[in-house]
Amino acid sequence: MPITLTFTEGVLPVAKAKEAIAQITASFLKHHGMTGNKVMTRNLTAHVHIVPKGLTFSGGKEIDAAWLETRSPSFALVDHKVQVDFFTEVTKIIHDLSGGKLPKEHIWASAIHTVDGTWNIDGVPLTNEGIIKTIS
Amino acid sequence: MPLTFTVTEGVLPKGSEKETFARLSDAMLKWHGLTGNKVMTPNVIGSINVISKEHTFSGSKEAPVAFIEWKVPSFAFATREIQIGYIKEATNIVHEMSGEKLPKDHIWVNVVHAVDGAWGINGKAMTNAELGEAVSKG
Repeated sequence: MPITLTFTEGVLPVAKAKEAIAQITASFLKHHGMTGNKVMTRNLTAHVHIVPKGLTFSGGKEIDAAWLETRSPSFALVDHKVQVDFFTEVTKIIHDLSGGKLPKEHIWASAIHTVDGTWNIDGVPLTNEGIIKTIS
Repeated sequence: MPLTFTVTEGVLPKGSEKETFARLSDAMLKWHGLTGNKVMTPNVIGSINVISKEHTFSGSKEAPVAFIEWKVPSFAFATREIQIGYIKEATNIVHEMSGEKLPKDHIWVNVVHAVDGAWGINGKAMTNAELGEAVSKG
């Protein structure tokens, strides 16, 4: 389940990006009741994109910002309470790691569900049902 | 049909990213029975993101990874046979191109379906039916 964290350079110190991913990963697992699940933990992947200043926008105008996007099988981030709790926490994590400098309204998050059957674990393409069996 | 291929720097020998990308694209066409299709081939597009070692993660720890992500109309990757066949082959391609250094369990594939009617080719918003018709002529 790749998580993509994108932010304007300077919003977070580079060293804090790693900490952000650690906290966001832990938050995702926690809100899905999967803290400590070994299969899910190692398959919860992430990458960080740092975009040069001047190339990130809101309403067509340059701003400093951060975006978090998750791509997951469609059984994740389904319950609205999980959506609200996870995205609220993620926003706080990024805001706090920016030293409180990046306003929360400049932090956006979204979730994308992937096609059932196109998620692979250990090189094996699994259906949603297969993933649930594997992680349980 | 964009393929976004994201890989940690150093996973693939420098300069082989392009070949890997081409093989991943060719395999997609092959599994859909579209090898050589003149309409589809130029519209199989994409980008390669090579990410620095300290910015790719598995289980919140730094790890070498490869992500193969397709964004396609919903008639693509629609059968289980294509899903299984393509994902196995794509995983093998990246594993092999890494000199067998990147373990298969560090190679992830996923597919996202785009909204019907929101596929733009040459400035025209096309429905899945229109896309299917155009591809059948290729």
